Amino acid sequence: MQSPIIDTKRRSSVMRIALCSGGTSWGMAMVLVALSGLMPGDRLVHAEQKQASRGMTALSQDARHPARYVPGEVLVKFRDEASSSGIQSLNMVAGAKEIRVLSMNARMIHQYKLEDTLSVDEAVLKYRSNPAVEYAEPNYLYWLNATPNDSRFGTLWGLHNTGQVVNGTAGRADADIDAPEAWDISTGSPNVIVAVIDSGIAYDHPDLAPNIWTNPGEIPGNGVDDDGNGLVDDVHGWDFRMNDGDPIDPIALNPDGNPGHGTHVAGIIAGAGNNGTGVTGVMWTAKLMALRAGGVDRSVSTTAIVSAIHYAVDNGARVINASFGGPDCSLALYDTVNAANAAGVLFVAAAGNGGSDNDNVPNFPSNFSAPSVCDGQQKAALSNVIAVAATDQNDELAIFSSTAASNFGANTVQVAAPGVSINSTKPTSNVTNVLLHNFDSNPTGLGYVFGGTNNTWGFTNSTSFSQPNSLSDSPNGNYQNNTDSFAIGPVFSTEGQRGCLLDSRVRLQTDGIDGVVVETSRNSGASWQPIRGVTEITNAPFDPFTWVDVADGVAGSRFRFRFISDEGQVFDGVYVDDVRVACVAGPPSGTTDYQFLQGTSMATPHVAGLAGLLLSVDPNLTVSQLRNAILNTVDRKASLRGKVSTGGRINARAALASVVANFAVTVNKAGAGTGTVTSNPSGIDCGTTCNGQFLQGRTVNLTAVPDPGSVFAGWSGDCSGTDPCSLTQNTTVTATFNIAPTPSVPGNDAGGGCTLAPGATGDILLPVMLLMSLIILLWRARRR
Amino acid sequence: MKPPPPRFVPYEVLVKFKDGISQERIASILKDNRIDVIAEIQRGRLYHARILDDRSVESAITQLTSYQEIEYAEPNYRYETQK
Repeated sequence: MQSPIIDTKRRSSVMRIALCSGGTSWGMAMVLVALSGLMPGDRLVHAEQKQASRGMTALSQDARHPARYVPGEVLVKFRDEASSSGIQSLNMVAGAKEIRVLSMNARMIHQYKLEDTLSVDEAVLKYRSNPAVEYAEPNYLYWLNATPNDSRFGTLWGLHNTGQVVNGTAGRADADIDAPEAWDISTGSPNVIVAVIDSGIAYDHPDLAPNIWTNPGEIPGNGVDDDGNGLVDDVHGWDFRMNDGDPIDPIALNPDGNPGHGTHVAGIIAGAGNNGTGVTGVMWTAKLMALRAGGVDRSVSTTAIVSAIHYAVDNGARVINASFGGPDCSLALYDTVNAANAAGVLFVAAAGNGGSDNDNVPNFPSNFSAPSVCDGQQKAALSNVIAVAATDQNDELAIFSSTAASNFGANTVQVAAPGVSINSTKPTSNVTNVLLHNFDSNPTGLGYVFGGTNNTWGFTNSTSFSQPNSLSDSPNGNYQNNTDSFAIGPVFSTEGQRGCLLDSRVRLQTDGIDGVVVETSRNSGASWQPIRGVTEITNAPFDPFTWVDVADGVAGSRFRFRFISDEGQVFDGVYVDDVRVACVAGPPSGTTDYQFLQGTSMATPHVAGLAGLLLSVDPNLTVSQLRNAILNTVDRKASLRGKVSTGGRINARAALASVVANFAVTVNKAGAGTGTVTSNPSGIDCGTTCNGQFLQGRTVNLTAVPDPGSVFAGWSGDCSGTDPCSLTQNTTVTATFNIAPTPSVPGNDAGGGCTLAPGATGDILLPVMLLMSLIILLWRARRR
Repeated sequence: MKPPPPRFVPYEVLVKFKDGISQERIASILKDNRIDVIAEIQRGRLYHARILDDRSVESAITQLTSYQEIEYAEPNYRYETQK
């Protein structure tokens, strides 16, 4: 297959290197690799070994990642004096089309897509052979170091957008928060507590369980308030909605109810990362505090929120995720968020999904981030609040449906974050029906009790969802004015059950003020807790409707429908059918469930997760440092200008880089010779860049490569000798290059005379590489 | 059928007393207004309370805010987890 001529040429080149390498062992290894580099199918070894020859051995030694560069792409940096016509003709020869120009510190790096003419390694060699090229290299996947192995990571465009199709829609590369780049700095910490005030968390979900907070002061299940905080067995948090120790997240079985909201939010913040399954949180590792305040009906009372915030502050959370909102300004809520501010706790709040301008139509609590009017009082902005809008896969302000879109506000919303087609954790739903009444056979035997003012409750076959009967406040026509009547269901037990709720089919027709309230009792009806009222003019036929949460573990549980009217108009009233008490959070099934949701509720936890990452880097950041790190490092987008105060979408890498400590390395050069000093990780390329900043905690290796005709004589300053110099702190080093003694002609004297210093092998490598590239080209030409 | 935005919890109010008001005075004001304490929320004199008769939340708040001892009284507003 291969021509003898080429074979001979190759052998001769090998001979030359072998002779001149003077027996250094890695020189030999390089020759063997160079050989294999010519074999079809073995792609990148050449280029990698060139890297190795410059001391960047980390890449080639890292065997964890089989694909180390983007197929068909090269990165090229031209020298300043390179002419654009020269660049163009070189690109023509290489068959390279520009994808984009990466600009950093006024250095332009060209990213090229290769057509079929040359392979990546061939193209790299082609570019390197041109004197106008400062360097050329494959598009190495450095970030692979921090890419998790979670099976659904590819769907998480908000963390890493390659333009992939998610949920049927393609996105745009890099319209994301740069999570993998951030993970290069930190993937989180088990010491950072993020509180999720929401509909609860499925804390037993396998992709969340490793990251769930556990109260160190509480002994689970002993029925004792071990830590003396007034709450018994608050192990993973508390259910401030139902006032019990189980903050599980029950899924409503009907549309419009809770879809597993808090569990979804929790997975966005800190779905267990790199555990080989499911999704990846912004934080791979964290402690999520489960504070249930929202019900299966998605409503969240001020009192539950306020209590939950106090709990979070008292128990060490530094970040609170608040993916809820409403139009009313509560002074109690303002005071409490203000108290969290005093305690150094960041409060990240959703801007809302009405598609409206929060500067004009206030949304709370997110509007606490700006001055607001609360019950007639002027209230100052709270500096611990970040209001979050949502972006889509193309970095546009999100549109969720024909009737829903991200709110915005040039003054009242600060940042945007991904919030469309977000994949995250979903609670397992194990439904047990404790009670199901269709009123169809022997309804009077069910044990309902009717009473109250103007009571006309009864069963009717005039209209129903399941034929023939339903339950109605006024089976024989319109209700009366000034009614306050009730239908009390029978006593039932929820002992041994979790995540219980009441739902039914409902048909309702009132004047918009009159309506029906559901109340529940934990003591067989001795006292009632009003929970949810519904009033609306509608003739809608028996829609499924989730009414209320029902307390778990109660023997004497009971509900009643209470119909209330005033002195206005009268209508047909309410009909209910298929009344059900379902308990949906049975024993964990062990299955892992996931779902796509969208909204500013999903954007908010991206920001909360970023705050957690920042605290994992520096737990001593103040709340204002935390907020500034997020706000000052956004990627500004034209689509967000005038929509959020920063004009941008969060960038996790930039935020982390702004708080992480750096150390400085300065390289000087001395001697009559010339050469280049480079660093791994990159940052120093001296000649051009002789000062670099590197992340604290990393090791930087400097390698000196003399130019042809020079030799590297060694380091001075903070390094010595001639081996690559490893640095971990502020350093100034000097590399001395001397004029080389006149070299003997390579290949004509096997007995010695090749007196290169170890660092000088690049001297001989470059011409050899050039020769090899010629060989490759010839060889490929022969094959065609 | 879509319910209206659930703006506040029926029959419930939040009452914040000013600093320095005695527990006895607080108890007597609440009793006089037929308001039952559900819970004192931590830190400060913020009470989660229930209206014991058929007064509307609005009228109860109007009555309560007429006391100089009360810093504010407001409905137990409801927010929504957003989809």
